[in-house]
Amino acid sequence: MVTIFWRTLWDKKYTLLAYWGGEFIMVWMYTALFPTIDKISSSYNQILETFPHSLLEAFGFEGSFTGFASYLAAEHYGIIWPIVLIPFLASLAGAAITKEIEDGTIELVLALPVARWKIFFAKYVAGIVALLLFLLFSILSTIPMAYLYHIDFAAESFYYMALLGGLFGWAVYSFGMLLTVLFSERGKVYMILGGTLVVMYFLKIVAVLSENLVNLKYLSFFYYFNAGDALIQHIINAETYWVFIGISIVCTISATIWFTKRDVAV
Amino acid sequence: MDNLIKHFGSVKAVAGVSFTVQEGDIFGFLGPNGAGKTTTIRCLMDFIRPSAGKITLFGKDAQLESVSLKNDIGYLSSDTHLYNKWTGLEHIKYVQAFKGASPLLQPLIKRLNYDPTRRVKNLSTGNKQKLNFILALLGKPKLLILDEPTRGLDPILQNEVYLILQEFQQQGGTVFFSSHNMAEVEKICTRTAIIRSGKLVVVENITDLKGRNIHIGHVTFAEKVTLPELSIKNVKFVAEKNAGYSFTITGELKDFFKTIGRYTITDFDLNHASLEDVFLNYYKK
Repeated sequence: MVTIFWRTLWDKKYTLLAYWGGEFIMVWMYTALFPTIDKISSSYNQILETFPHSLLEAFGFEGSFTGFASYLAAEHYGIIWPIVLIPFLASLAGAAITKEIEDGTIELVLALPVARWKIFFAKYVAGIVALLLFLLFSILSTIPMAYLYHIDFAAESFYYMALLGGLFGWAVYSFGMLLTVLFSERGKVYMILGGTLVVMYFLKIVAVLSENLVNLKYLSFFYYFNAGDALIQHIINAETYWVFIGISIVCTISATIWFTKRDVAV
Repeated sequence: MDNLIKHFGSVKAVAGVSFTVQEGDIFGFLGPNGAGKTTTIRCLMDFIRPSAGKITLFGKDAQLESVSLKNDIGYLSSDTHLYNKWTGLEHIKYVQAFKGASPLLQPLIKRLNYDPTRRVKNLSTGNKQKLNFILALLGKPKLLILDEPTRGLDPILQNEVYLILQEFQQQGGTVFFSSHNMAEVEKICTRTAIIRSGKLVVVENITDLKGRNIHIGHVTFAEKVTLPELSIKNVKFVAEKNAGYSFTITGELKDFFKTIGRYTITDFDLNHASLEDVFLNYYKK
């Protein structure tokens, strides 16, 4: 099991390094720019006041520049961060089982004296570890960087953001892992995962812009993924825990059962 | 294997296959493309699950106890499914992590003249097949399930593989392999099964199969003789361009000679069928 876990991570090393490194550099850039941005924050806030509140909310920005946390929520964690995270997780999920079926290498794995559920979990845990390191490089790395640039900040902001990002990532990854055991072509996994998340994002925007359709927000991961609340107010709603943890557990159990039962013909 | 049935939707890939492989056999599994050989092998390996029927290996249910059984099974896939970015050595270490080190490894590498340091993507089809074969023999397998093991190998290496399989058999191992190559089946197999359209048509010892009373030949008549006039129960005639007929006789020759004796024969030959002819006879039925 440990061998499969390590090989799964090792085979994706360039992808992992690119995403981890890319996010680290991006966060470094935002942090380095903050002292300059902070000096002209009043001008920024004046510009922001001219936009309709619902439009700003639709794109993940609900406040004004009041400090480092609100700056990062608006500039990065509210929208760019999940946009980077989703393809990262889709790539990990797609490679876990579907790519092995496409390449035929799953036969080599299935011919080993290892139970299918163990194969699934070795690959699943490898993805979770990759996600945790993504959180480290993209969120928690901000703490030492802020010290480096003498920025006033609350470390709690980033603990909450890492927790929220972790829950969001876990739910997306678990859904991706369910798709990777359901299908034998990566195209279908990416299309359905990406398509579902695009629809969810669209539902969130529709719910913000139309009072009649406000309840649609509950169908969107992006409603529960509220970076502003986590970073600025240090709040993660109870429903966010329920939805993300619930979906992750249901998808993981379903994926394990399906992979154990399914025919694997290459 | 007891009445194995496997459907893919409305397609019946395997329709009630039953046979037994004795320990110590080298068992050839033959059939044309799409006959159900690979589907049967995938059921044996528990990659796919039978729609009905039961497979028992070493007294254990092949589905329920597949994990423990795989400790005793070496498997070679019909296509060379390997990780392109890995070297041969990485593959070997990966499999050994689960099946344990094999004392056969170094002698095998030497006998097959294989370089394990090269990446799979840079290997020829034959070298990939060598690696596949080495991986199947890692650990201490009691049973080898090989789907076309000599595909892509040159004749010298094919002979080396036959020798290795025979040595494996002499040490008490059992080999179950599918093949299209009649000569290799004739050369190394003790028993064989022929599958056609998902159904087993024969399971026999090679010597018994070769001893079957099948003759093939050719006859040309001076006069015009039609196919209905040559209707004989155990003979199949096929008209040729030169007014002659090729034929396959299964069983007694008496009725055949009695019938063709009514006409004037200008050319005639008759031979015992080779093993290949026997197989082709089954394939075409």
